[in-house]
Amino acid sequence: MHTRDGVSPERLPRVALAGSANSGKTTLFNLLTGSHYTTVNYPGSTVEYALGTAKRMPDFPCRVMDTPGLTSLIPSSPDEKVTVDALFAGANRPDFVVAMADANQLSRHLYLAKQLQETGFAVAVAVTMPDLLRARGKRVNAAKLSQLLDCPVAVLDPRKREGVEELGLALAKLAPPNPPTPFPPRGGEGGVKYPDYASFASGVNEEKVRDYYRALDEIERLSVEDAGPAEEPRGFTDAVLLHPVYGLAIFLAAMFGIFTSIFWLASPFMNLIDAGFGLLIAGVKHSLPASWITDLLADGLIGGAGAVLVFLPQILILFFAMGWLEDSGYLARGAALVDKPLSKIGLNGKSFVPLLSGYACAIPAMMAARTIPNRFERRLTIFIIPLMSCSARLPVYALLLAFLTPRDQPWIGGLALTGLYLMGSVLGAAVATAVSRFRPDKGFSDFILELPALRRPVPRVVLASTYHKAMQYVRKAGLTIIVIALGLWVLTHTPVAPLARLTPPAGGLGTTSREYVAVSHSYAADIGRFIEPLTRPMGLDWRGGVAMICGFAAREVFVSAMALMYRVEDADQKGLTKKLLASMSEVKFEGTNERVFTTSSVLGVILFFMIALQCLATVAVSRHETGGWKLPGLQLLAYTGAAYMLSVALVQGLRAMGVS
Amino acid sequence: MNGEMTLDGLRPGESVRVAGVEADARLKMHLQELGFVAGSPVTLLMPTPFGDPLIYWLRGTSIALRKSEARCIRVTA
Repeated sequence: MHTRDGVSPERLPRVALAGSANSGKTTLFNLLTGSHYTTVNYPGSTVEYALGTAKRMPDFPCRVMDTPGLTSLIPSSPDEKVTVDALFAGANRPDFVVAMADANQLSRHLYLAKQLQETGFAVAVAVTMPDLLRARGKRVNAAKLSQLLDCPVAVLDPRKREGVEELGLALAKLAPPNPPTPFPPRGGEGGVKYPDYASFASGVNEEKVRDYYRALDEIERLSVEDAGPAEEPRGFTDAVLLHPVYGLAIFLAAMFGIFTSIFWLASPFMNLIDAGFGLLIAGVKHSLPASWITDLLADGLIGGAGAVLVFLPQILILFFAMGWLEDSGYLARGAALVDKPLSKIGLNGKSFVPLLSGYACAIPAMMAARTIPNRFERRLTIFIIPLMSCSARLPVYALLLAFLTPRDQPWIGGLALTGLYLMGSVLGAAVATAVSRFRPDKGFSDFILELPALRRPVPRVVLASTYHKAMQYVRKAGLTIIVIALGLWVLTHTPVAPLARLTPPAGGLGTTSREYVAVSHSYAADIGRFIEPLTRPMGLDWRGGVAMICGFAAREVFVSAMALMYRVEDADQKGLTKKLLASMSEVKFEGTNERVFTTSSVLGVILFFMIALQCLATVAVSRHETGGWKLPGLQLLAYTGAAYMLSVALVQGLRAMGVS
Repeated sequence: MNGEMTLDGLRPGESVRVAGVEADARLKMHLQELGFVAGSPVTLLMPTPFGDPLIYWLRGTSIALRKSEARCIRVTA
């Protein structure tokens, strides 16, 4: 386990936050830890959870663990299984558990607290969302509830940063007086035993569930008291949001708004980052002596980092929009709304959020699929996520569409871009429909979802969730992309030709040309020439083939690789696209007069990028999330193979019809 | 309305009490753990725009259930 927050190795007591997805758990976790945490792998499995040091509870210094949403200790999805595993086994299992409970639905949320108590955990209850209960004219009597549950209770509102000290005091009541440092490990000689999950699970039956609820109904009745008149509900209500006409209109408007902002809001920022890294690379090359180390640093490392960060604007915008909808309570309504159409193609309403995330990046999207209880539906969702048009495709589409469409009518390109996003989605739906015909478990599917109360989103909470999801992308994709970018740099720069031979006399070739000479003698060029028989039917020469290979680091790398392969002079990024476009319209197959980039060959490349699974970081996460190579292997082969064959068919078909 | 009916047959706004759950062991347990235990009051709030799933009010929260799950829950008026 690695700690980034510089905590002393002294063993602080560990506290797990457990509760339903809508109980305010993650908001509390971010508040407690100040959003500084590490992710910890649960041993022997691929799942992970967040662990951080509580900074806002002076009365109870501890490490806090966030866990995925849980309604019962009998798990009904992989996500819930993660939580149960994290609570009962592994090196980081908690000493104490905070059971989160929404004040408005105490009986349902305290069910988990009761179960945790029964297993033998030392439990403190955190009652959240007192403001919503107050609006209903009621409040929770914490002292009474504490007495009835026989455990410490704190009422808190993490969204408003209230009540954290009370939680610290409640937890302090669970610990022995003057807890020793380091905190004694449980389960040792003479120590307190760890709760035993197996014996608890074997004792769960319907009778027991009914007994729990009988007791909890009584507890809720006795601990919730009147607190003045209820408020009139304001803002949107479900009567509007789920109305057959307005509800659909609002849903479509929300989706349209999200995608419009991806296109029009993200691209200036993406261009800015792209230009910034271009300047940085040029600066490094100018200020350091010309050597292969400088090139490796500039093109390999900085270029690779740029390839990761250039997608951030689109990812941030999409996750901010989704976080906003989630915090308002709308996202769950959206999932319920699309459950019926999605179930027709073998998916589930719970596939909605993962698929939507797929338009930012397939990596967090596949991780979000953990909340889908049904195994087939979860794997099918993961299977089609790579067909959703992720942010890495945007720069490629932008370049290629700019080549195809007249410059004085940019709206044609915009329309075509929308069309490409739609085609990717339609293709995903078609694949899902086709695959679901082979479904082994017909009829074994459900959609049960608690809809959180509709609220005005809190910007701080939304920003925190945006930040964490974006970091998930940077952590998971970042390293892979940089490593592959470095590997490709080596392939395009070795064998190292003697610098003397490549450096022309003063006044001769510029820097870029020197690079080009190196590239055309590299292993990458050998590979490009070797696979030219494959790229030729797509209408591409070996240089285009090398650029395509580079796209496997991250799709967007294709653009900079094109610039390198087709000798775009000068690293001045401002005019890069314009120069690249000009260069593309002139490039000929070596030794012939035949142009490489024509309407048909560019359409072929677009089609290839739409379907092919080129992102190796995605393949790695797909393996991680499905627990094997079967699904990612199939994705890689089927999508990339189909992309190749379809783009060859398109190019040859168009040419047969007379389209150059 | 007297006699037994299932949760999917409610009119919007209609309130009933759960009488029992009939489903495979996994779903049966899951629904009961969510609070659909005998005696619990449930109200159908509204259907979703495509008619399925349906939104119910149970124990202080809204819950979406497909008709196929709602059909597993026996209720009495």
